[in-house]
Amino acid sequence: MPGDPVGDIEGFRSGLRRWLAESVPADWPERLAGDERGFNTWWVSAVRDAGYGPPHWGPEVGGPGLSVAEQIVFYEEITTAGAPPYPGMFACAYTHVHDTLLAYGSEEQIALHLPPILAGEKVWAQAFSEPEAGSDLASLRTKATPRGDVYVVNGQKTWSSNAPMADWAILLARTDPDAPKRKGLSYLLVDLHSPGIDIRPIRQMTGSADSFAEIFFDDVEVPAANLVGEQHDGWRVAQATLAAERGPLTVPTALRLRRTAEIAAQLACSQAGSADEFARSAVGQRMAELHTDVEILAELLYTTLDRVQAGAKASSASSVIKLVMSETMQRLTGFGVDLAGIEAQIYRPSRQRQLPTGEWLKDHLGSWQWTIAAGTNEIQRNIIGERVLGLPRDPLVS
Amino acid sequence: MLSIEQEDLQRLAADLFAKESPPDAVRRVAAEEPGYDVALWRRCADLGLLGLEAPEELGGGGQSAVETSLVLAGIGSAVVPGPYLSQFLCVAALNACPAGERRDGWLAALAGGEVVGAVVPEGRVRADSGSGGVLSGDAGVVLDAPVASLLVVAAEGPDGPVVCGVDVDAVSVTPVPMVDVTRRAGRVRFDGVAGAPVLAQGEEARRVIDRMRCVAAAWIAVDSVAGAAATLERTVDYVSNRHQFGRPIGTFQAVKHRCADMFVWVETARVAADAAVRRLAAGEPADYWCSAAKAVAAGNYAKVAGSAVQLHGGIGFTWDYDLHLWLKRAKLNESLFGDTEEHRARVARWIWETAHEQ
Repeated sequence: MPGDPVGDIEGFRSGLRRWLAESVPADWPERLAGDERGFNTWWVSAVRDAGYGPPHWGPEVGGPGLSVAEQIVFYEEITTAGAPPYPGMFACAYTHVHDTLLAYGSEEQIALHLPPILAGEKVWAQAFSEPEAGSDLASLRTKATPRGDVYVVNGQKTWSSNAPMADWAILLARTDPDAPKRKGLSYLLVDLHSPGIDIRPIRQMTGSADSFAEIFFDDVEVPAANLVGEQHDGWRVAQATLAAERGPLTVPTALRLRRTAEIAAQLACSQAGSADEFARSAVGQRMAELHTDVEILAELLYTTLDRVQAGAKASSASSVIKLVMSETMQRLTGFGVDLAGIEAQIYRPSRQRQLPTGEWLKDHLGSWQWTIAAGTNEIQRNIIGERVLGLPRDPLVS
Repeated sequence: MLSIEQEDLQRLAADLFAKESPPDAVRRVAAEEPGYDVALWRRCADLGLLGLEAPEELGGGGQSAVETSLVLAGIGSAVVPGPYLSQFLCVAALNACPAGERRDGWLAALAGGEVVGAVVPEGRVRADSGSGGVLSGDAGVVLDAPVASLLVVAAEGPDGPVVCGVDVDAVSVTPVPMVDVTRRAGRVRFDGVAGAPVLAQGEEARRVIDRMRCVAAAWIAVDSVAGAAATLERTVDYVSNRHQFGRPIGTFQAVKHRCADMFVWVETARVAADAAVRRLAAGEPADYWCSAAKAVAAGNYAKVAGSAVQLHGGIGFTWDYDLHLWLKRAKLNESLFGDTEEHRARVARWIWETAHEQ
């Protein structure tokens, strides 16, 4: 890894480890539960002030400009230290908004929006999907009609993570209803405290009801200055959002899956009397297969990140990583449900949200978020088929 | 990531075997004795490909498992007939044995291609003394035994394992026709074979045998990844051109998604095989990854080749179309050098031990 001699990286790691040991309060789960917003702001600010965050932001926008290798170490260490989730409710702001504005935003937009994000003051949400435009995002119907120096927005967005807490949204809306579906879209920054906006939380099948919402727009006026990129060119701008740097951010999930596999292994081994009995049992065989799948995912992720550090694009690997990660999670947690038997079926209220929560069925149900969100696995298979393998597109879709 | 020299070797091997061993050549040489292209074998010897891991002073390349894996990938991709995998395995086994006149002589002859080697894995042959003595037992079906002149044998002695080198004339070898015509095999029986040189015994033999098992598993994984990738490539080409309902069948999601799954199977197997080879080359503990890679890669090869036949439809089921060469090799790979259940059991034992250390 150029510019990152192993010694430096290990020094970075030990400094970070020391800082985490000193700075992460033991009672953080209670504090997070007591004041989610306040605690999140405190946590991202502490990480920022210590010089670690937002990890991939460059110094020109007030970030630490960590190398990819350092970003990986950052996410490894906060995961193994059991630190609070990072960046939590600021995920959209840190990755999507930052990456999109740097690619297409004006100097004014960057100067206006990134500092409050860096200060932990503004939560952002993504307003892309609609009830009738999910996988077929480009068919979206929410309208942004130019009128003087504003756009008037009408429509409904959904599956918007963190929207109940959000101050701002990145919005993809139709500005030219007569153009072909990808040609008539524009990308806007919307103040969610504007008149005419109604945010309604959606309860997920896991029971959680505080982080997911639909957003209704009724004659909402958005200043024309909030247009990102060119008018009608929003589809292209949105690609920067959808391609936002995910690489090192994926590390915690891979490590959490490892931890989940360890817990499954303890449980699986406890059901056999000897290594030989375990090894030849159906449970042992399935455990071996799932353990291998998790280790392959980690290898796949790390070798991909090695290539990213060497200057390669991760794009062709990202669909494979998304598929393997989400489907391994689904199989592994399903195996945990089988192992735990009827105990896994008993409802236990708990605030633990991150895998492994200690509740196999909750983790298993949660795995569908991973197979559906960020481009369903069916869409990922289309991407692999068409963009990686070069198969012909469906004439009815293209 | 590969070095420039390794990339050159990878390209050389891929080009050589693609050019010299296209499917019609595979069928032709497989149908005759000795079942492989001897001229191509000689050429590989002259290029130094047979003894890549043998010491340079013995005429080898002084290279690592990575280099061997690059050559094997070219062989697996083109389903090249011939005792290459066994040869490479013998070289790795002898490399792990202490230096000595017999070992060094065989290593040089294996690297030069004059001697063809095959391996009898552990668990089938007994030795009646700790220093080798008389070997007996039914070794079962041994890959490449009918074309080999040297057998490297892992035997169980009264005081622990021994590794012997056995002249194939001293044992009974009955060739058996294989469904996978790209590979030869024979039933091997040891009816009191005396005087076979002992290459390693006791703890040293244990180490050599463990190494042989790991390397064999890794080589099957490498062959599998390359073969799977080749069948996927053929399938992508076929479904992009085959028209039904007025359009290429690759436009249909049922077909496209199966191709995407095939790609994921190839790439995950590749990650596992690479991880195994990298650890073998670095001299790191490789048991976990070799067994994991063998189970995943051979299994995924069979899934990919099976899907390839399915997506080709009727033509894929015919003798004249070439796909079955890969499917049959995939099914043989699942069974060779420990089947999927055995390697998963090894991974499970590793998990058990790790769980009990905590």
